[in-house]
Amino acid sequence: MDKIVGTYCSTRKLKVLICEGSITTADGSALVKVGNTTVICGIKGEFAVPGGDKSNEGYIVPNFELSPVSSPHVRPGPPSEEAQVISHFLSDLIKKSSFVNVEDLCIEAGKLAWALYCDLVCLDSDGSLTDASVIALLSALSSMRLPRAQVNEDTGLGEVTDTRDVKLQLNDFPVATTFGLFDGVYGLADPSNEEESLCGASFILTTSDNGLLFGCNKSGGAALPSQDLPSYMTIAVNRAKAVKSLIDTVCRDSDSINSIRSS
Amino acid sequence: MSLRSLSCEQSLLARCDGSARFKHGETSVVAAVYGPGDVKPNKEIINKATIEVTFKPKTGLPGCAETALEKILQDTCEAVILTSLHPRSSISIILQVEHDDGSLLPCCINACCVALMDTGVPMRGFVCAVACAVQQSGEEIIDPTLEQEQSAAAVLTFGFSNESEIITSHMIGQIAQEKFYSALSFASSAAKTVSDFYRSSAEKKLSKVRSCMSRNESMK
Repeated sequence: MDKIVGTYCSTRKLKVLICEGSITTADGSALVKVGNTTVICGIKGEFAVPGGDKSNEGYIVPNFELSPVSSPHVRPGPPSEEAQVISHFLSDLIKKSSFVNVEDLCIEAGKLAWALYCDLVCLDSDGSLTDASVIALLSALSSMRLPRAQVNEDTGLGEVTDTRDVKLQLNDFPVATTFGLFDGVYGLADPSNEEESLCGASFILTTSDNGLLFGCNKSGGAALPSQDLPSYMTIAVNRAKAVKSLIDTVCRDSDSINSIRSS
Repeated sequence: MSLRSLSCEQSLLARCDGSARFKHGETSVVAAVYGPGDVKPNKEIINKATIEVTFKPKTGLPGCAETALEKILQDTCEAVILTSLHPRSSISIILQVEHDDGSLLPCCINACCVALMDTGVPMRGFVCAVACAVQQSGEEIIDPTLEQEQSAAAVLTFGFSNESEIITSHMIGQIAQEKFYSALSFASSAAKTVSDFYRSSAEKKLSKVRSCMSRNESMK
């Protein structure tokens, strides 16, 4: 069953909508709308053999695609440069920070582990794609329920039970906030597509609700005055707090519905 | 705390319009520039030059990581090249990694800038890039080696303009906000060393040209 909760986030009153459980065939999924930008994330868990030197770790493999339905500038075919950049951003966020422990995905060291394939598709591209993708990934990971798994002693293969109660623990909720820099002076949070094209530069701050910084990415364009950074950080942290409480509410509500169903 | 020894060589390749090899300690990147030249009609911009960057890693096939790096380099170079002076043309920059011992992104940005200078592409300034790794203990290391990067809590790369403003920034890992500001200030002062190095390499190259010219004059 879908659970939709909408809220107004502090950055320029853009509505953020999270809908978990949209894809019933996936182990975890979330549909997120930030303003008009819509990204859906579906997670499928598959068995994999842990690699040589990392025998107690599973895998989380994100892949972001821009669907031609999202924008007239997107053509069908292999992922564009924009999509590859976002895929790499998500992959770096997972691998290089410790907001999620890949050791939790290990079923039996050296023999079996979960590989989570996270597929993100943008259905409506109206700026700030990274923000929506990160929120979709976090919501899908929070709502994901895997079955219990173990290695069968006789066959050596993995087998699962019918119950779905294995959750992935997230240590932090890093939330990305895109800012557009207009005239090198005016900062615009959550720019839409039109606003991004008019801004001379843009940068992405990834922060968690407890003030930790996970990323500050700026790619060329007009210079960013470093004395303005603290105020941008405050906006980003407030955004992270609002998004985390939204994800928590949605998770709690969907948990309570599932427990009513099974009892 | 200081950078590793910087070295650069210019005009090392014969076929391209400009080239440079830039080294941060053992990390070595060769950049070649072709341009301004022809551009494919689908990439043509009517009022600006099209900047294309190709990044070749030392081993393996290029993937998402290489595409992301190309985008950062393209945007950084576009910020300093006077693209409106060459409309409907392309400036192609090709980078080849010779050895990666940490600080690869700053080395690539610096190699691009020196190669563009060698080509004579009109620019409004340089981007001086420097990386700073913040260890788990909280210690900041400027221009980290590969080993220091892999064991760090976060690796931050900054590209500064001539006026010490942030043009480009890239960060992986997680740190407290205060650590970010201290890493930024260390990187900003280290970038002045890179800027002085650009100036001294330009002077060396021009002094060679000057001495050649004066020798030609005296032979007449």
